[in-house]
Amino acid sequence: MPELSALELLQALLQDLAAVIPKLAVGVAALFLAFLLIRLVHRVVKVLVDASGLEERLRSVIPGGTRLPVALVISLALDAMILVSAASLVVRLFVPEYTAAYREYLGVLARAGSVAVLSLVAIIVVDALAKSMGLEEKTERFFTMLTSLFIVTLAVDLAALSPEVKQALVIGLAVGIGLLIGAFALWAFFGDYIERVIEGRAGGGR
Amino acid sequence: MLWPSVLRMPDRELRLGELLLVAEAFAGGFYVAVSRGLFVPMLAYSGYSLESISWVVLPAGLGGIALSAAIFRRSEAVTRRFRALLLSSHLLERVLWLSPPFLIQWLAAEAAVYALGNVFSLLTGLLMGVLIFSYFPSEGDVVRVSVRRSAAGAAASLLGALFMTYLPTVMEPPTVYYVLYLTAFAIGLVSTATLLLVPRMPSRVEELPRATGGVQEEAMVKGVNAYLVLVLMNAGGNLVGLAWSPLLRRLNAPLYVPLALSLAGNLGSLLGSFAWRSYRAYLAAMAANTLLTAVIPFVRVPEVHPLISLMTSSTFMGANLLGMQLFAQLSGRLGRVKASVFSTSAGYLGLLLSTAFSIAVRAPPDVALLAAAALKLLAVVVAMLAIPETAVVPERRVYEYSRLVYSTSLYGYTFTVQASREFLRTMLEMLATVALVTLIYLVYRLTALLAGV
Repeated sequence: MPELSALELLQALLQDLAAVIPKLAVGVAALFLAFLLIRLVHRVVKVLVDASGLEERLRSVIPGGTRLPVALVISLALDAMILVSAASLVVRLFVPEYTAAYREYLGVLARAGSVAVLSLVAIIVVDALAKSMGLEEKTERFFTMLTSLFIVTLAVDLAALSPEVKQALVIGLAVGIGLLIGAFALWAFFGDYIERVIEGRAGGGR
Repeated sequence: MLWPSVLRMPDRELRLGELLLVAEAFAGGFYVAVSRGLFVPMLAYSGYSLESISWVVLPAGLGGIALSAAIFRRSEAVTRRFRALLLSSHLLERVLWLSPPFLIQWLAAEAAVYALGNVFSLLTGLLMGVLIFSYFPSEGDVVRVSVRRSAAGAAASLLGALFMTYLPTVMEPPTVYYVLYLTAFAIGLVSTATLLLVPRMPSRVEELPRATGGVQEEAMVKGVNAYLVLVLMNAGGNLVGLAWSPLLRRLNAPLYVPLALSLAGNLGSLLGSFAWRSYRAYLAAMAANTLLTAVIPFVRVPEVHPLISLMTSSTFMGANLLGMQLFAQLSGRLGRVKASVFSTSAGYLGLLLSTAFSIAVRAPPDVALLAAAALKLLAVVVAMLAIPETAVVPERRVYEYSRLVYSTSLYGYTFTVQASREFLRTMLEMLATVALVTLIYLVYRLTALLAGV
């Protein structure tokens, strides 16, 4: 390594910085634009959902309506998409195209967006199911648990763990969810019967 | 000048007011005759096709009807700032009607100006009606002033028509339009100035306390029936106006006959204003008008047609006078604004109906004229059966018939409004849903493009 004077070092550093500044500016502008777009989209979606009467129509299908307002759900999904777009634009600026790193980064971004959207869908669907079945509060809590497990499973996919650990975690969670659903189904469909049998035994002992 | 209209005015000022209102109608009549009468010929001679003319004209009728309906529902909106509203609408109407020759190159601008101009002339007409209903103390005064105003208007339109026919013979097309419209504007301003001079014009109109339930509904029944008669008569009359020139062209009439037709028409309404003096006479005039309308397609000699035009327009005044008198009588019970909306918007609805009929059916002129006679006959029948003042059947029967006609027309109205509202709502909801889905798809595509999913 050739000896560099402090001044030369500083100069090189400044040159690097100067080369990065335009990219940085564009990146910041892209993010700023994304946030502006998000605000705009929120407003437009609210107006359109109000005008289309989507909420009322959903209310006639799902008693009491969805837990999250329709406008919010749609806006959040669109926000996720817009943020992913802006982030990928930034990645494009800093990482040379068609390299392994570039592809990897974009993959992570796309996965993050998908997780956000799928979590929203999971919340909505599970909530709608619980509402339309007309369940009591305790059972609804069970469904909340189910939803959070789903979301954790999806989030594991994003983590930078080794593939083996990831697989083990996901399999464990999936089995857990399956068992939960099984137990719930057993209780929901045969609960009365089981109760009667247990009561009968208790009565027989008396 | 903050004089509530309920205060009695000295007789001298009332007379002056009447004179000024008649003068306003005279100046206004000239301006209306030129600016309205020239509009369609100007478009036609500047290269507009018949179809584009109807596109220019169509929004105007709809706008007028919508405005009438809105004011009918919320009459406080016009009574609160009555004077300011009347004067500004009066002036704005004249300004708007100055612009058509200058905007002739842009179809959309022309349609917009025409629609706005019509909306404002409807508003002006309506407010003038309110003014007359609240300015004069008795029903007889109202009718007298209205008759004089319509006679003055007819006389001025006669002058306007002569002026409009003479000027193109000495000037070239683009300039002559500017000159005619500017002249009309200047004279229109004179009418606004006379209106400004009317002494003690109410700055706001106090609607009298509403009559209670039964009386109110009685008035409404009568008002709707009279409105129906006026609408039917006007629809028939407009249909005659649309079909008469094509009929004459078919008879190979010389060019001066259609011109003479409109002159004779103006003269006829001038005479008719003074010819009919009682309810019986109004009914007789309407019946004669119906008969004359039915006769038109069978008269094969073109030179006789101007004479028929003179007679039809003088007998048509019977219908106008009937409306004036009935609504003057009802204005106390119905409210001045509502009475004025009724009497002003009937012409617009009639125009809309006849235009819709002629677009939808495309009948040959003689059939259209017979259809017009049928509409007028219907009006005469309603007047003979359901309006107590003109009825020929015993009073007990009149009551029943009037209820029947009222409820039928009210049902039709409610149904139409409800159906069109539902339709519009569903339409809007569908549009919003489609826009929402498009937005989601758009953002998705953007993401897919940028992130390369």
